[in-house]
Amino acid sequence: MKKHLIPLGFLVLLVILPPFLSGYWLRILTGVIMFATLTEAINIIAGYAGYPAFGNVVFFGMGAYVTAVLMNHGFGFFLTLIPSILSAVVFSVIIGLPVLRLRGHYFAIASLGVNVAVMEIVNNLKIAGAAEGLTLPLKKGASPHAVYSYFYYLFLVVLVLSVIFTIWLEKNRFGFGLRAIRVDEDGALAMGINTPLYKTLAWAYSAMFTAIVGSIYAYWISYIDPETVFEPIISVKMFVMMLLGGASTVYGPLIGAVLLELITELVWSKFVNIHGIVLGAIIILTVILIPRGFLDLFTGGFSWRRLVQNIKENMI
Amino acid sequence: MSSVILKGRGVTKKFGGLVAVNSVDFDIYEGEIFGIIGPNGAGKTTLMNLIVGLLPLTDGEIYFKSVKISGKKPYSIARLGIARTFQIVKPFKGMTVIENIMVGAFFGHGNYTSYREARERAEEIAKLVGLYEKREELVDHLNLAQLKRIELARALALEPEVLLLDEVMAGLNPAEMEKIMNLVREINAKGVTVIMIEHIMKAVMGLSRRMMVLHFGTKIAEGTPEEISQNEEVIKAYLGERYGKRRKSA
Repeated sequence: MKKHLIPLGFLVLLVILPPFLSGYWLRILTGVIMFATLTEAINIIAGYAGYPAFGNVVFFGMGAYVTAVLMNHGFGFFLTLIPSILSAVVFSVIIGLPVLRLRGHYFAIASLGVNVAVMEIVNNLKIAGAAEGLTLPLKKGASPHAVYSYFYYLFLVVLVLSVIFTIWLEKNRFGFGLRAIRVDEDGALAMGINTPLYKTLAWAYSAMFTAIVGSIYAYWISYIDPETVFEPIISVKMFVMMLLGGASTVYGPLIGAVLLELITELVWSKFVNIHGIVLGAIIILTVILIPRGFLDLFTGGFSWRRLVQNIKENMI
Repeated sequence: MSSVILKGRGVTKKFGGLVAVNSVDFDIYEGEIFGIIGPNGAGKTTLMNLIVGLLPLTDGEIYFKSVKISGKKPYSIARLGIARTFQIVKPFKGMTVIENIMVGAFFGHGNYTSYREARERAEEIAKLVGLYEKREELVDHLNLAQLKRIELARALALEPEVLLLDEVMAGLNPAEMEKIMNLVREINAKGVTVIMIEHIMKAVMGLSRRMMVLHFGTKIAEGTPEEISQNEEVIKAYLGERYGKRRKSA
C-alpha cells in the first residue's frame, strides 16, 4: 500500500488543480493525462506481455471515429462509448488471433500494417467523411474553462480506472501469466498458461482503454481526420513514454508521459524543425542510461553506480 | 505391479525427411523413476516435447492414465498433471524466485487462484528445494545450480503426478548433483512419478529402477540398469567401445 501513497497525493492535487489553471496549462495537462492513459494501456500488451504493438493507435482512431460518426447521427457522447469499446475489442480479437502468433519484430510490423490498412479504409469511407474528416458537435458549457475542465476530468477518470486495473494485474494470476509470456512463451506453455487466450485478452484490454481515450479525444478536439487519429507517431510516443518511465510497472508509464509530453510542449514548440532529432536523442539516451526506465533508477534509492553500470552495459 | 500412468504407442516424429523419434512404445508405471538415455541427437528431448505437447506427433498416441493427451495443447497437458523442466533453463527473468514458483502454483493442477494461496504454496516448495532464503531475489542473479532448482520448483508447483526432468544434472558439479539426486528421491517418495532424461549415467543408474535407451530415434533396449549396462547393443551404440573395454578391465 505504501508505494501507492505518493501517486494518491498526486491524484488529489490533479483533482483540485483545474480552477487555478489557465486555459493553456489545462490543455497541456489534459494532453499529459490522455497520453498517460494511452501508455498505461499499451503497457499491458507491450510491457507486461512483451508484444510490441506498434499499431496500437489503430484503436485510438477507431474509438474516435465510432464516436464521431454516431454523434453526427444524434447519439449522446456517453452512449457512443459502448459501441466504441465493442468495436475495438472485437477488432482486436479478430486481428489478434492470427497476428499474435507472430513474435517480436514481426508482430510489431504486422500490427503497424493493420493500423495503416485501417487508416486507408477510413480514408475512403463516405460515412466517415473520407479523407476530409469529420466535425463533431461542440460540447456546450458555461465557459470555455468549464468545457476544458470537463474533458480534463473525463480523461482523469479513465486514467484512474486504467491504473487501478494495472495495480490489480500486478498481484493477479492474469498478470503473472502475461509476465511469463513476455520472458519465455514455451516456458509459459509448459507451466500451464493458455498463452493464445492470455495474449488476446491482454490486447483486447489494451484496445478497450485506447478506444475510450480516442472517443474522448474526438469529442474534445471536435474535428478528426484519418491522418491525425491513425498517426503512427502516436504509437511511437506511447512506446517512448513507456520505456522512458519503465515498462511493465504500474507508474512508469505515467512518469514517462509526464516527462515526454512536457518536453514536447515546452521544447519542441520552440524547435519545430528539429523535434525528430530530440525524440531520437531521447530514445537513444533512454536505452543507454535507463534501459529499465526512469522509475527503476529511483526504486530503492537513487544510485550513481547503477547509472554508470547501465552506461557500461549498454554503450555501443 | 502398480498401474500404468503414462503410455506411448508407436510414438513417431518426423522433421521433414529426418525421423527424430521412430515408433517408440513405452509404459511408465505410477510411482517409479524411469530413465531415458541415449547419445546426443537420439531424440530424447524430442520425445519429451511430444509427451508435453510442445511438438505435434507425426504418428502414434500417448495416454495419461486413460486420457489420450497426444493432440492436446501443452497448457492443458500441464494442467492435467504432467510437468517438465527444460534442459536449457528457462527462468522467468525480471521476476523474483518466489514469483517464478508462483507461476506454477497459479496455473497448475492445484489451481490456486488467490495471490496469498499461491504464495503460501510457493513458499512451501521453495523450502523443499532449498531456495527459501533466496525467495525475494531476482532470478537474473542466480547461478546455474540454483536455476536448475528453480526449474524443479516451478514444475513441482504445478503439483504434477508425472514429472519429466530434462537433463537436470547437466552442468552441475558432483556435490550439486548429489543434492539434486537426493531431491529427486524425495520428490519421488511423495508419490510423484519421475521420468529422467540424462547424459550422466551415474545419476540415472543410481536413481531409476527401469530405463530405456534411444538411438537415432529408435528404442534399442529397455530394462533395469544392470540389464542395460550388460546389453551389447547399448554398449556399442551408446556407451562406445572404450566404455566396453574399461568395463571389462574393471
